[in-house]
Amino acid sequence: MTRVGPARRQRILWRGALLAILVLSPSVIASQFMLEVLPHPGYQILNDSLATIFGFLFGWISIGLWISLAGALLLLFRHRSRLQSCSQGSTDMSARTALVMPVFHEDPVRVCAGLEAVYRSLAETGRLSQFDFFILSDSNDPDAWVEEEVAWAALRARVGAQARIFYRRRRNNIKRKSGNIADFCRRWGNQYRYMVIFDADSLMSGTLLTRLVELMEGNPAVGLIQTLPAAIHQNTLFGRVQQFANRLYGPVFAAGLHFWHVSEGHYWGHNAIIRVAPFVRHCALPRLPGGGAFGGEIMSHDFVEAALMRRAGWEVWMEPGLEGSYEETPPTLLDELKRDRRWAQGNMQHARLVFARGFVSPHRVVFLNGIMSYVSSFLWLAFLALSSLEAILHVLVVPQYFPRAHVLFPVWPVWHPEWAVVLFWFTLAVLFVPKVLAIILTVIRGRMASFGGGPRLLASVVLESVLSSILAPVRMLFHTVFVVSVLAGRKTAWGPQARGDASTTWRQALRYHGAGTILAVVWGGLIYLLSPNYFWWLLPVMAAWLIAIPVSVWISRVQLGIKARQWGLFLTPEEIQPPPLLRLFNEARRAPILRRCTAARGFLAAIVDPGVNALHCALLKAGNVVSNEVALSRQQLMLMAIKDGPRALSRWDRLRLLNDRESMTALHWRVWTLRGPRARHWLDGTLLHADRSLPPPSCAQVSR
Amino acid sequence: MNFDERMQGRVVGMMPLDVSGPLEMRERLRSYLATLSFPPELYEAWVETACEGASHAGQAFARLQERMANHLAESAASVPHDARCVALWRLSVWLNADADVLATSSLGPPFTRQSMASERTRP
Repeated sequence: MTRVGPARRQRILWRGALLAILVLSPSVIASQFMLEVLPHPGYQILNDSLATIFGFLFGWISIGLWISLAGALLLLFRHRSRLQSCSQGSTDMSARTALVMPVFHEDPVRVCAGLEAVYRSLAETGRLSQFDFFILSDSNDPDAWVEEEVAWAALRARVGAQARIFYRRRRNNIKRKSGNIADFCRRWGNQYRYMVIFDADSLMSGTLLTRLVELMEGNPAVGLIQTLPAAIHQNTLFGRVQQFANRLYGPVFAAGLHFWHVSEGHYWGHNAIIRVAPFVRHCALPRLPGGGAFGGEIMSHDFVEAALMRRAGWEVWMEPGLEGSYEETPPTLLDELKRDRRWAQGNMQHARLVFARGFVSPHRVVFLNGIMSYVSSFLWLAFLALSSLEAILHVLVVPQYFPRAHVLFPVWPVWHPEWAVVLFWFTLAVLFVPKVLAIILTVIRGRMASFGGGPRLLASVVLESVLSSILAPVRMLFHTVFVVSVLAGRKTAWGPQARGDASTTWRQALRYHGAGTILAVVWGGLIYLLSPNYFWWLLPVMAAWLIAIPVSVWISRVQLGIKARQWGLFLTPEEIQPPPLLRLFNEARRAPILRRCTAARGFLAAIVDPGVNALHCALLKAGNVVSNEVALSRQQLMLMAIKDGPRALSRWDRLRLLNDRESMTALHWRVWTLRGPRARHWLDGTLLHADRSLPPPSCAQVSR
Repeated sequence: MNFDERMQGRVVGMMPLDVSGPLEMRERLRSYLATLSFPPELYEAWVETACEGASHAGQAFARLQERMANHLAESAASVPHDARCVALWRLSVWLNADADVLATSSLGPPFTRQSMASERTRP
C-alpha cells in the first residue's frame, strides 16, 4: 500500500496554512473595522464582544468565498483531477463490490425502484456480475418490515430470481446507520473489496459505479472516494430552489473542497465508494463515554469514519468531476430543519473528537467546520442581541461628556454609520461572490442552456438569493435553539427522513414559527420605539421572522413548484435532459406492482396472506432451541392473538411474533381455521362469506 | 417434546375455535387456495381429499399442507422435503415462479463472519 508521501503531505499543509491566512487576516481586519464603526467611547465589554463575534462570523463566511474561488479556478484551468490523472492499470475483474443501502422506515417501493434503476444501468455496462446489492433494513415497525420484504420480492420478481439483490433486517439497530453498515461488514464484508454506500434516495449510474471501481483499482492508496450527488426529483417550491442552488453552486464548492483538502477530504455518508478491508480494520466507531447529547453513539458517523480512515494512512478524496450521482433533498423547510436537528447534535458531538489523537489537521478542521455550521447561528443571534443592547443603552443612558475630571472639552460620542454601510456591502460581497463565480463559470463553459437559458438562469439566481436571504434568519433562529438544546443535554430521536412531495400545513407552520414571529414583534417593536435608526439595520432579520409562517407554507406547495417549472425557473440539467438512469428510475416507479393474494398489508398480511406469510417465513432463519419459558411465552402470545385478534397485540408483541418462524407458520394456519367472530379479527369478509354465524366460544373453551 | 410438538398439541387441540362443519371446512379450504390463485381445476380434488373424514378445519388444513409438500416433491425433485417446503410451494404459486429456481436462488450470500477489528479502540 502506498501511503501519502512527505511531498504531498507538505503540499496539503501549505494549502491549509494559506487558507488559514486568507481566512484569519480579513477576520482580524474586519474585527478592527467593526470596533471603529461602533460608538466610542462606549461600553468597552460590549464593543469588544461585538467586534470579536463579528470577526468570527466574517471569517466563517469568508471560508465559503475562498473555497468557491479555488473551485472556480480549478474548474476553469484543470479539467482532470489528480485522482483521475493518477488512475492507472486495468481493473481486476475479480474485484467484487457490494452496493449497500441502509434503510429505516423508508418507502420500500421507492427504495426498490431506485435499486432496480441502478441494477439495469449496471447491466448496460456489462459489469453487473461484479456487483451485489444489499438492502440493509433497520426498520423496527412491524408493518414497515413486512412491506419492505414484499417490495424486495417484487423487485426480484421483476429483474429475475437469480439477481444478486439481498434483503437483510437487523433485529437490534445498535449504533443506527453506522452500526447497520458495520453489521454488513461483519457478516459479508470479506467477500467484497469495495462497498458503495447508498442512502434510500441515492441513485448512481452504472457508468459511474464502474468508474469508481476503476479509480479505486488504479489508486491503491485510496480508501474512500466521495462523489458529489446532484439534487433531483423536487416538486415543492422550496425543494426546487434547493435543487437549483445545489446544481448551480455545488460543483464549484465541491471543486474548492477538493482543492483545499486534496487527499484528506470529506465523506458525507452516502454516494461514496469505500475500500472494505481498511474500513473494517480502522473505522469501527466507539461509543463515546458519558451521557447527554455529547456521549453515547456517534450520530454523524461519516466525518469520523473519514478521519479514522485517513488516520490509518488511507487517502480520502472528494471527487467532484464524476457525473451520474444523485440524491433527493428535504421537500420543505420544516423537513430540512428536522434533519438539521439531528445533524446539529451529531456535529456538536464532534467537539469531543477535534483534539483526538492521530487525526490529520484537515479532518480536525472538518469537525470544527461542522460545529461552526450551527454555532455560527448562535453567534449571529448573540451579535444581534448585543448590538440591540448597545443601541438601547445609548438611548437610555446619558453619555458621560466629561469622563475625567479637570478637562476643558467634552468627549462627544462618535460612531460612523457610513463605515457600517461600507462593512455591510463588503459582507454582502463576500456572501454573494461564490454565486457570481458559479454563474460566470456556467457562462464560460457554455452550460446556460442546461439551466433554461441566460435570462431564466439570472432570474432564478435573483429569486433564489431573495428566498435564501429570507430563510437565513429563520434557519439561524432554529439552529440557535438546536445548539442550546444540545448544550442542555437534550438528545434527539432517530426518525426517518422526509422524502418525496410533502407540504407544510398552516397549523404546523404556526407551531414551529409562531415563537419567532412573536419574538420579531417584541424585539423589533422595542427597537423601533427606542432607536428607530438602528431598527432599519435589524429589519431584514425581523421581517424574515415575521413572515416565516406564510413563507414556510407557500414554499412547501407543490403547485407553486410546478408553476415555477412551467415558467422555466429553477431548472436543472437533469430536468432539461434527463439522463438514462433517471428514465430507468421512472420506468421502475411505473412498473406494475406485485399482485397480492389478499387486501391485507403489513403485519396482518404476514399472518393472513398465504404468499406474504411464505415469503416472511422463508426470510427468517430457523429458530434455535428455546427454553421452556420462552416457548411458553410465545404460546401465550399466540393464544392472545387468536383470542383477541391483532388489535390486542402491541408493536413489540408483533415484532416478537414476526421474529419467530415457527410462531408465524403456526399462526398463519391457525387463523385460517378459526370460525366466526374470531376469524373476522384476521380475515377479510370476502374470505369468510360461507361461514355460519356462530356464537363466540366461552372463555373456558379458549383456555382449555 | 420440541416446540413444534408442544405447539401442535396446544393449538390444534383447541377444536372449539375451529370451523367444524363439512361445508364450512370445504369453503374455507377453497377460499384459501383461491386466494393463492391456485388453479380451480386442481384444488377441488385437494379440498375433497383434505376434508374427507376431518373433524375440524385444523385437521383438514394439516392434510392440505401434506398434499402441498407431496405436490412439491413430485414437481420439483431437487427441493428438500422439509419444514420449509410448504412455504416454498406457496411462494412459488404466489410469485408464479419455478420452485426449483426459488429453492436454489440464494436469499443472501453465505455469512463469512469477521469482527470490526477496530471496535475496541478509542479515537
